[in-house]
Amino acid sequence: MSVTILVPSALRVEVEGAKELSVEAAGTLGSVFDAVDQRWPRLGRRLRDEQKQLRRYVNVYVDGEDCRGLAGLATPVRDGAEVQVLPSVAGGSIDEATGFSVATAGQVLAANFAPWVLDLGLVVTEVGADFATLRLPWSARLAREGGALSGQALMAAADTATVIAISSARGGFAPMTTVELSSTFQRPVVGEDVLVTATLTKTGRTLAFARIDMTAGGKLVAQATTVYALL
Amino acid sequence: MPVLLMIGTAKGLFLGTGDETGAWTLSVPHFPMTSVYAVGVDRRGAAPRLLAGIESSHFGPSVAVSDDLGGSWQEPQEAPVAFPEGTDTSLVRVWSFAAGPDSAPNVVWAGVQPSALFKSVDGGVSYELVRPLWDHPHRPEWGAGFGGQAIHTILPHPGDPDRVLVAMSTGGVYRTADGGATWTASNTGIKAYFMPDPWPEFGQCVHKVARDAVNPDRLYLQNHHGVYRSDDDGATWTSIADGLPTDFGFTMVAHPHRADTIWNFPITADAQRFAPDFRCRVYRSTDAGTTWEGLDDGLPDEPFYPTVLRDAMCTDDAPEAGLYFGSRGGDVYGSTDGGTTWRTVAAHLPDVLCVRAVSV
Repeated sequence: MSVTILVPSALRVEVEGAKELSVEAAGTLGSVFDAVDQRWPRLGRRLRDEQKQLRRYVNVYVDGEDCRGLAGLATPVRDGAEVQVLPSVAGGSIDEATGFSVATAGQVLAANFAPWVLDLGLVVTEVGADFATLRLPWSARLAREGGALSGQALMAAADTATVIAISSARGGFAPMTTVELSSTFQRPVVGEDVLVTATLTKTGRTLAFARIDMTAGGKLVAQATTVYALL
Repeated sequence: MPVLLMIGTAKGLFLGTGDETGAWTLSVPHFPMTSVYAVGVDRRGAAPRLLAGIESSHFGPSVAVSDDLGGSWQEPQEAPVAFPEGTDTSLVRVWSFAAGPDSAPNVVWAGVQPSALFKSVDGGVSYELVRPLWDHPHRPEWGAGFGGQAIHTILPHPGDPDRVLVAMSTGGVYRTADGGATWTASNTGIKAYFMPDPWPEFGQCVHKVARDAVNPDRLYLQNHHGVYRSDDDGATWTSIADGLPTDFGFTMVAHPHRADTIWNFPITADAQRFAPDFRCRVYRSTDAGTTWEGLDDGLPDEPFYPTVLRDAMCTDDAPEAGLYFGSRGGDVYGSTDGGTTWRTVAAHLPDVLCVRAVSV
């Protein structure tokens, strides 16, 4: 059985410049990489570590599907399949495109918000070129009559997440201000942390637009949209 | 005498060449966009061999060597440093290299993360795990410092190829006297203030150890709070921190030829990782740590916020040894008079992770 491997430009030096390799392998993606290890060991060890685990920031697509969404290295590979190797844009702890990391996001959070917002205890868990995810820890102090998390806390978290997402997109904090924020509250939250992900839907020269999804226990609890003026 | 300065940074290896006039030329980055946490020089062969521990955030760690001062680099097909089957462990990165004594000309050691020691008998091209240290009953209790859990210091004894001292964060100092077959924790006198028993057998967060050039039984140690000296090859340790502004820091460098002469770069505290008073200042002792003096002539006058990492200070091996250090702010400074006066060697580099120098 023959499989075609598409080699990213950064690794073509290991295979004399070839963009594509043809390997004989049977069954699974793991066996395809075993065949690579046999023939091009230095290419093989760039893709998997010595315990044969796929390196964290190497993405592999089998006929266009991310293997991590399939069965990983156990993903079946058909005769004639195309296996594409791509370095993840998330390589390393820092987004090299902007230099903005979770750590810098934490500094932006600590330096630019009112004390009562900091009291929410928000933690930046992930940032990317057009999004930021913050965790709002559960606290009984944020609950309203009846014991559910107050909408005011969620709105503040959504607003804050937007600032982090915009800062990530621009590679650092710059002055900005909220023009509009509208929210819908769809499920009550009791006793659970909320993950707040702000995704930028458009960033222009003077305005940025974001959609914020808030989930708890894997379920959507609230959504918001924001419009920001970039000063 | 011309000097080659290897500068490992967060985005590649820069090679500086210094001439007799004190002028420096700097290469473009070798291994661009890889972190170079460890560099080494083995000058026992016909030509100095350069060693570089490189780590791509995408494609993992490796080791490359050069026998033509960086003109070309060789990297084997098979992984040079790899944990064997059955360890269920993968190499994160190489943290340190050390060439063995002259009597073992092909031996090169590598200390890695997670804490393990590897030995090469082919001059540093390929390495094997030192099993007895990996199988040490203490290993499950070794912890990780802020930078990760690693063996960062390897000091072969110059007169005895069977004696080697290693240090790790955290875990502390371990020694072998039988070529690595058995290892003993050797932290008597070193404090671990962060543990319930502050004087444990092991578990200390040692940051760096250096060996005296003239008396090989004399060692100097920068601890996670605490600066110590041993006069019995590491068996016991006593404080030499009194003359320093603070007992925290990462570096410890000994003169390559002269007895009792050492340098470090104090940092205020664990929880305040800035130089004291935000001054860029190197401290020197010429009496084995009894007294220290601060040196900053030619170093930045303005407030200085970067730190100097554990391997980011070194000497070269010229008769009048040059001294160098690099900061996480990407600047590298050099001195040809033992630190009394300084000049900028390179500026605006990525974070400097390590430096090593050799006269050529």
